[in-house]
Amino acid sequence: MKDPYEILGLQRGASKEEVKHAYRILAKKYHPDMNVDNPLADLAEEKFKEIQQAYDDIMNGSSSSSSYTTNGYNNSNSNLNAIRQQVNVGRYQDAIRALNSVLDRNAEWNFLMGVCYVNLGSTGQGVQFVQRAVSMEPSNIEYQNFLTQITNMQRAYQSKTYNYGRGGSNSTDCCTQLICADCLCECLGGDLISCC
Amino acid sequence: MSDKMFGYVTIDKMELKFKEYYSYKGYYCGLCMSLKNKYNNFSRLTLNYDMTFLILILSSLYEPDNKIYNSRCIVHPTKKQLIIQNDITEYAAGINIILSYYNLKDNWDDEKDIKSLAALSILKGNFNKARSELVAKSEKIKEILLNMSLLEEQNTNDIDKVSNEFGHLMEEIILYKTDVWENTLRKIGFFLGKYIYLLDAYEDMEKDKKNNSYNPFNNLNVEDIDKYAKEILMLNLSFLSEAVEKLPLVQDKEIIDNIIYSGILMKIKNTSTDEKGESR
Repeated sequence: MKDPYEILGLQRGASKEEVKHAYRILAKKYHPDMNVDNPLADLAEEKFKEIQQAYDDIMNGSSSSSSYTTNGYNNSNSNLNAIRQQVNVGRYQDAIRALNSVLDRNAEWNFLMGVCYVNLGSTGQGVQFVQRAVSMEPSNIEYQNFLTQITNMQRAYQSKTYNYGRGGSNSTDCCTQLICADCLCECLGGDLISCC
Repeated sequence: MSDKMFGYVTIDKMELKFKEYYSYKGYYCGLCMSLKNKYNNFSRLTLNYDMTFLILILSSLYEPDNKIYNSRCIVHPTKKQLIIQNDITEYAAGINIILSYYNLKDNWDDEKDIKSLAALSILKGNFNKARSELVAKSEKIKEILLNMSLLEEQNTNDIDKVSNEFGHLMEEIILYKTDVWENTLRKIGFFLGKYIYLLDAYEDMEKDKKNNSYNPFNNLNVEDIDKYAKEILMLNLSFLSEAVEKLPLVQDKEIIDNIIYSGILMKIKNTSTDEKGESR
């Protein structure tokens, strides 16, 4: 399979913002609407799909995935295995119904319940279930990973809000000052940097 | 639905550049103009910032052709304002009318508030017009609002269940088109709606207790309610920002970042215990 970064004309490890820019430019170029009269419209459409796939792969691959799922490995409990299958295919409501009729509420039960709740948007309760699963069985990597994924996402958001407006390390660099000067000029009716 | 969506999703003005601020205002005034041109002046009372955020996201995602011009308006009669309008603005204006209509209807049904009845009769024509263009959406909105009022009537203590309904409402609203972005847009709408519902409820806790109105926070059995509320609000915002970052947003991304990483948080910070209930 071709490297998704290569498809977007980028170096591996390009930033998210670079990926978004590259996707925008290429998607516009190959969009079916833009190529109606093009004799190579079929090729363009194929290329368009490839770009879309590459974008999705990059966006869902590296960050804390787009859907919070179980990793599908089986425990010994056959009763919960069937429910796990439902969770894996996204039938969360059915899974919750089935889980509610299980009497032995062990760590895995709490974990599966948590995964269902998080995916249905009841994030607060979902996290509580998974936390309970982790405290019942602290050595279980699957439960821990799930919780870490969510904690990392929360941390990422908090650090972005913390750093927002603080400008990071280059707040006083020459470029920022120029832009500030540009804003001031625009205020007074002039323009220092013509492009912005 | 007790007057939800009253400008919880706003910018952090101090951190925006001038040109970004003017673009933001352009979208806001664009929505206002669409409401005026297509419906009538009365409709503009329903305008809100939360809808402007949706317009920003959808406009950035789909980059429709913008109509940009300067115009005077009732709110700013002396100075001409920048107006930005596009197909998404028109869509949002229609949705705005539908929401206001159901909101007023709810007020009338619950409280027999005569002002709501008067407003309803004025809005009726606009509502029919908006509804005729957005039949499927309008039905969905009606259905979800009904689910929500049933849950509130039952005085549910499941704070997720009731706030999820409002999430589903915003999910329908943000889904301007069904395409490859559907799942991500649904997540954005969902967590945005859920956040708005929860923050609104959190703010109204004392007031609702006094008036004996439904409020999911008053049914909770937790030790430190402020800590709990802040935690779930932040959790929802984390999910929201994760979904927003999945979209290939380039146009106006600075404004969108300003809202999700700063502006949206200002209301939580303002809602400290002493101001609660009075902050609107």
